[in-house]
Amino acid sequence: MKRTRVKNKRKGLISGGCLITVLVLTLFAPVFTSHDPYAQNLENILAPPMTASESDGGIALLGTDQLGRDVLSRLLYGGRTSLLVGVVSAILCGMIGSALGVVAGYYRRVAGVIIMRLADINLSVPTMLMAIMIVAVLGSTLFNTILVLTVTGWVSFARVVRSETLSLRERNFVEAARAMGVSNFRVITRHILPNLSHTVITLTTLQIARMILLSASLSFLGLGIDVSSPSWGGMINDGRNYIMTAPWLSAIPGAAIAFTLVGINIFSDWLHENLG
Amino acid sequence: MIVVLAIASFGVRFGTAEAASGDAKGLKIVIARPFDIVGLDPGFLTESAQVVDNIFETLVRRNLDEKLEPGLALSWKQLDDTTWEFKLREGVTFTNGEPFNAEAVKYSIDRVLDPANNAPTRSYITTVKEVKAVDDTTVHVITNAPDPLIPIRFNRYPTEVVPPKYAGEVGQEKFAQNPVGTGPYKLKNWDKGSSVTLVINESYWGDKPEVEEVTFKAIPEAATRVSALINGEADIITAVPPEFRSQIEDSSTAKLSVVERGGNTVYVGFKTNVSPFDNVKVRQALNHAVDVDGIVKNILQGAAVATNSLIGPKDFGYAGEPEGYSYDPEKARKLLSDAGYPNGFEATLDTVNWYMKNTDVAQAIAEQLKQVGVKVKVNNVESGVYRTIVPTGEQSPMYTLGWSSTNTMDADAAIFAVLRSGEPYSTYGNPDVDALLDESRSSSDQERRRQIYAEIQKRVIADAPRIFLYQENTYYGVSKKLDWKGRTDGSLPLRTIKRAE
Repeated sequence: MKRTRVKNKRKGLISGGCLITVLVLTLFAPVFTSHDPYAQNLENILAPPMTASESDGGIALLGTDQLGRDVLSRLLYGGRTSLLVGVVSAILCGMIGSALGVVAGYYRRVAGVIIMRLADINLSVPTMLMAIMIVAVLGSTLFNTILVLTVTGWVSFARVVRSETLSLRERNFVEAARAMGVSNFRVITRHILPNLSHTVITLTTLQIARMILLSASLSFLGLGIDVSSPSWGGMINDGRNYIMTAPWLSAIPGAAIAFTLVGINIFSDWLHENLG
Repeated sequence: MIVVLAIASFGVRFGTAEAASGDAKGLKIVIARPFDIVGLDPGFLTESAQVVDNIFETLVRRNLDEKLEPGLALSWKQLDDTTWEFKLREGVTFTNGEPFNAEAVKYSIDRVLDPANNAPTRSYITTVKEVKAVDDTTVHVITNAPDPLIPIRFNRYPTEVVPPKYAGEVGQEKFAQNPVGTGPYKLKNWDKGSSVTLVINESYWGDKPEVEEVTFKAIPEAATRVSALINGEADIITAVPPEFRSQIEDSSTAKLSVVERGGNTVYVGFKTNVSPFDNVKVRQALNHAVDVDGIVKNILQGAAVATNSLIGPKDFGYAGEPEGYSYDPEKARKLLSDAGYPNGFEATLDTVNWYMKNTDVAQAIAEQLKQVGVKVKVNNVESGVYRTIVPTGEQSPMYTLGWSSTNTMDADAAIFAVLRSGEPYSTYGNPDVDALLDESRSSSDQERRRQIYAEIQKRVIADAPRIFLYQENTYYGVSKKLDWKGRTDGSLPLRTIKRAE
């Protein structure tokens, strides 16, 4: 891989900074909030942001929700779940999708046809519908959410990686390696995979954003992880009934999702410029 | 994306026919409900009967106070244990000119009872063995066993009378699209999936209603339904969620109609044959651990009434508000350790969005149970899945369910299906209670039935097969131009809607 000067430093710094902020805030949530995100206080429900919380004399910075739980701590702890689901499922998608893509591109006759038709079938079912089906059958747990996202997300990797592999396969250095009798396995691992890495990395960052959004949509529909665990999508869903009277309940996690996604998208764009 | 769309849809307006218009001639109104109708054949209905009730009539109907009064029958009496006689109204015709008579009643019941027709509502009248047309205006209903509920059964939509000749000629499917009845209204137009319009039946035998034409419009999103009411696009809306109450009350154009305890009695059921819920002390302990009043006041904001009664106050068999389990975590802990669970246990609580704020209520219950050491995981089950797992007994050992007398206004419908062992929705089995329930179904002595229900109530509270929670209120939004109130039986008789003074 060729090394050049880092382009567009400011873009990378700002978007990277945003993401690091989100990561630090959520990973070290206990440092930033002392409230238990599960603790209910039915006497102090739907308190607006910046009001004194009656029970402990502290201030509910972002208000309380419909069960009197502190919105700030739910936002931070909920971010953990949302990011965890996004990152893990994007990486799983990346691994499975890339592996299948390389195989499909390299052995394009039989394996390629089978894998790509599978991908077509997968694409022909709307993502949300498939997700709803799987969760309805298997139940809603963290593991199942990740499973759903992986099952629906590998195709985009497989298709991109396959087409890259198809062109790499015809390149001289690959042909030379094969002419010298290097085994197929070695050709793939030594000569093709390293040349795919920048594509896969860019795709993975984009996929993280997509997965966060998708898991939020699932939680919004009540199909995400179990209802009491905080998650950004679940918080938006909880707040939906109070949109007229307590708009911050949905607006705050909505803004958090938007902030994170824009950060990831700009960052992956910057990454693409510098890797590609 | 979905989030954005859902929020955006709050702003969507349904711009169509101006509501509550009309001159001195007659009133035209719009009623907005969350769903459209599927079919209009009362014998084969799988939905609320609010629309068909206005096209068809039953032998017995309910007046403004929801007491039984003569409908298509002028009088009824019990001849012997298993025979009821109905005397029919004379000179009534269907809107296609066919005469209403004893044969029509027999035909209407026979087609629902015929197992070959597979009517979804057949179970409401399976106690009926046979209907005999004695003469043109006399009908004898023969039951399999003594059935004290016959007049109530002949108030419900499966017994609504259809014209035999027309229904027989067009067949069931076409009849459901082009219904013909004796009711005060007839079908004018049905725009499938969005609205159905009824217009007054000029040849109706009874008093002429004030409302000339009614459009039942489907508006699934509650916020949209409420704004349609407030800005005058709808005159009556059903299924108002409690958080929209103040918006309607504060508006200058509409008022809120509250039917206190008009909804389901919601409870957390236990599978009483599954450990640890097979231990009555555990079940009692969990009842002591839940602060029902706090939940009703803070989470439901008073949109329900905390109760230990199994039966609604307007239902036959209601015996006042029985004493139940006070909120007493200390006592709960003691009962749990007496039962052999000093450190509590873990359990899963299934819930479903059929009930108000179901996930909030379930989470509050879980939090309160945690205080006495019982760790509860809340599992919000998708509605379609829940509909299949509960009657087959595949739900978690703790599950949320609500039940009501669904328009019969009799204790039988409110409790039999959820307490009698062997019934699909029952996870309770007590031989004494079973015997009482069976007796209540066969005794014609109304006083005796009242005693039986009081006895059942007492035993069930002691046995605690559920966490007793509350009965939901129901809310309607009504334009200030109209004079109408929501009803406990959930029906919407258009003939009772009047102009406001």
